Amino acid sequence: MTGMELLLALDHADPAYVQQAGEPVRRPWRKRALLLAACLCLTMAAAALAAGPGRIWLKEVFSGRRLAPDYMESGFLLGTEPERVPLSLLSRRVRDAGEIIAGQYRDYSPLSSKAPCQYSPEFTTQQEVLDYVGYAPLRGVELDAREEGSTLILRGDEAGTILSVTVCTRWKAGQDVRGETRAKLYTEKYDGETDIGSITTEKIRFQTEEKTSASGRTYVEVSSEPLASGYEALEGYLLDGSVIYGINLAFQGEERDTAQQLLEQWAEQF
Amino acid sequence: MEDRDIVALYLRRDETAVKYTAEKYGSRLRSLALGITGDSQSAEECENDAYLAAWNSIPPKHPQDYFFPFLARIVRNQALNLCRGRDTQKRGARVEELSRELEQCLPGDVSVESELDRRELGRMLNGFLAGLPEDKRRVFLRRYWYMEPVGDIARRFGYSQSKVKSMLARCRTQLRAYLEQEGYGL
Repeated sequence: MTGMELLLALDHADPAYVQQAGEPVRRPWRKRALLLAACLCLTMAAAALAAGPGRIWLKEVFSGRRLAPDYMESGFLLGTEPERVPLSLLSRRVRDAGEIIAGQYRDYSPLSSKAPCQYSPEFTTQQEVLDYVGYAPLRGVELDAREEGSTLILRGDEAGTILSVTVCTRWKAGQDVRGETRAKLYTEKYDGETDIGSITTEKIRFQTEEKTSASGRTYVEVSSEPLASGYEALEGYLLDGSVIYGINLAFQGEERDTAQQLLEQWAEQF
Repeated sequence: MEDRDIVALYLRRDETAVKYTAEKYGSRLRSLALGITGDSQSAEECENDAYLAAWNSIPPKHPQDYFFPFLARIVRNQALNLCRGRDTQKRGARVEELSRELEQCLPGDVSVESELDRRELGRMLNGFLAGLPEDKRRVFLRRYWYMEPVGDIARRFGYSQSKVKSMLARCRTQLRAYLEQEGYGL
């Protein structure tokens, strides 16, 4: 008998074990970390031409801005102007997914909580998403952290034309440092805003700083005061031609060094 | 779409079942096959074989509870058989490496010619897997069922590579002892 035959015999492994081994390694997410991640939104704007392509610049930082008697917000807004990506450079699967989005628009009910413009398949690894997207300049990142699954977010219009592609990968490191890396691109069909921003309803201060990695790339680092939960956030943003890369880390004060090292490790890879 | 809904489409002989299967699991299946065969064309063939096999075998099968393992098993089997048909040099480094590792678990010179023998061995392997703690079982299966590189397993579980290697070495020793205890190869 050979090792090859033993490999083949493993085919008979109980499917429950195979399924279990195939699932992402799950660890409980802290509610606050989830909330913080949920606050992160990448929105668009077509402004600040003076800053030129290839850069990210600060547009606004606000703290405790009251927009209504019962609503205030803190956050920041960064400007950027990524190059648009021709649809023909994306994989057939991505382009075909436009039909799913068009179907969602056709079947959309105003009572549905699901946005029809978005299709978000889940993947076990970052590499699987990159293979699915098939856009050569889109790169993955490696962190000294546990990879915990990826989501591909495809946005499109009613006609099924893909407008943006975002790859989100979740990470965990140290005792309780939670991270999410993002890579976002806009297709040639997108003509909306391209700002990057994050908003929370707590009154906290954000600080932004333009930094240069050891490899000479410029990126913007954003840090915030702790939320009521005790969790802090550290974020980084970098524009590489047509792709906006971002990292968002949530952690408690004693793990700031770990989070900072992860952010620097992320920036070094561009 | 939930697995049970996709399987229901197969049961109704609705051809969109294949489309939804490909959307949900296509990249994972292709990635599994690619890791084994080492070339994308063969990987795509294995993926397509899995869709055809699913279409032909549901019904009578109802794999709604383990739909992904059901598909992945077909892909893995196709990919391994494809490699087995190649000569050693073209077989692919990963398959060779894993075969060599598993040879350390074999207690004797026993030939596994028939599917029946393989099933019996499979039954023993399940007994062995059942006795492993969950973390070890997952690492073992990531390596020898999903055929992943040690580095990928280490990243997935947040372990160092040396820890993964040492867990796998202990598993192999345990498997050999288990097979001997069960009278395999005697």
